Amino acid sequence: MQYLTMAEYLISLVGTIVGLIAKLKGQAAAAGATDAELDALDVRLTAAIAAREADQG
Amino acid sequence: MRHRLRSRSFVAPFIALVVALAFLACAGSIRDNVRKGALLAGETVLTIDQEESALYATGAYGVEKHKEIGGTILTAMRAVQVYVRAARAWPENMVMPDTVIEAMLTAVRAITAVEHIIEGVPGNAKLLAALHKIKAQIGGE
Repeated sequence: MQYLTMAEYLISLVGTIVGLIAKLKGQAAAAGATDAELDALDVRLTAAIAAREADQG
Repeated sequence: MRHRLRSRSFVAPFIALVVALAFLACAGSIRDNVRKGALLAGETVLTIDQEESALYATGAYGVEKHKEIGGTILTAMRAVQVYVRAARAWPENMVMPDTVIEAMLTAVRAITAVEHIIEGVPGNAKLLAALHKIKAQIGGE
């Protein structure tokens, strides 16, 4: 079994964590819907609901 | 000076750190998926609303059936809107709030009700496909 020095291990750990956080932030930016998109959809749903309510009488 | 990491006392904090990071990663991706799913579900329920109006205009069924289907679509749109708002209000770096889970279940139930009422309607293929899609987006399948 190979052993690491404390300094080597800490550098490796910090590098891994920084890389992971950067990757997660990138994924979140690419995958998630923005607040503005959800707000715009909410407005359209409100309009469609009002129209359907009027249609239902 | 070289310190060797041979102590087992180091293993437990390391595993805890990895598990904490994994939870953080999952929390982020689940929130993103829910928000994206809410966006797609909202778009799809709007499509269903338009498709039903178009189908009714072809004379596929009468006014009574239109009102019956319209009532369930109205319920579904309201439920999806609640889901969209719950997803929008989910704070970053938090576990899924109960409001999101409740809204998700209510929306799936409302979509299922539309599915049941649409089943016997002629020319329902597009509507059923959209309903199937929306359930998958919300997480009902």
